[in-house]
Amino acid sequence: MTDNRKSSILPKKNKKSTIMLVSGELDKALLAFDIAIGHAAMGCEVTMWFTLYGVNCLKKPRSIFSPDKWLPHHKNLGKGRNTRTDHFMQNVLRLLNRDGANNIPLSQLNFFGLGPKILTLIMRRKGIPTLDELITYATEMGIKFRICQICVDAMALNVEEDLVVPAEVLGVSTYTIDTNNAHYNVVI
Amino acid sequence: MSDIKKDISVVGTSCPVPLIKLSQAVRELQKGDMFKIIGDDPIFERGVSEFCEVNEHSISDISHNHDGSIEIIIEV
Repeated sequence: MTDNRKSSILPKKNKKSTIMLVSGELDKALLAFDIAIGHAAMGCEVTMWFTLYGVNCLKKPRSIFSPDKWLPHHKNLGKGRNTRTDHFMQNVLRLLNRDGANNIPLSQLNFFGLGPKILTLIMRRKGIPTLDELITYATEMGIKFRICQICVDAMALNVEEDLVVPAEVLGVSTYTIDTNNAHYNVVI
Repeated sequence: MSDIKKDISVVGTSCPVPLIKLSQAVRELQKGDMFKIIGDDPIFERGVSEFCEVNEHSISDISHNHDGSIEIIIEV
């Protein structure tokens, strides 16, 4: 190996990275999970944050015809601030949001849902891991999944039942601590 | 050369699957163990050598096969 390449190799000390996924598109979710798994495999401690449409890829796959999507969702019956799902528009938002890694669209060349299927087919042919497999690998590698509290409240997300991976619901204070301790931060 | 404890094949997979399998294999083995990994990704050799540099493992042997696959023997 040449000397100039040696100097660019990072030293082995517990490096941390955080990746925040805001977009709900397949290409961006693939990118976020590829980066997260690559970092975890190279020995970094990775935390993935999800908010708004980013949570869509972690949900259990359900089509728009599933009765579970149409039923009103009443959870979080706690005291204090109004975190309850009590407005019908929240249920509409829950209905219109895509569920599952197989149902999310592409940001370009979507072709009304045909684009993601073609891309997945090409990726399978080439031996590239698909989003489902990447999520499984991410849980195996011990990546921490964290979801924003306001996203859970506003979009009527049921954290115990809707998600395929165990996730914590936390706020901006934890995000600040995570990002300040990390050496690599991205928001996708 | 001591005996090879583990033999993993990542033929046909693309980045980042070889790195995942490599890091999972390294986690199971102890320091001083030898293991062999076979892959055919174009950036496989570079990826494995960088993984070994970052995580302080040493590469004992690299051999290129005729069908394009690369065999790398690593000492954990």
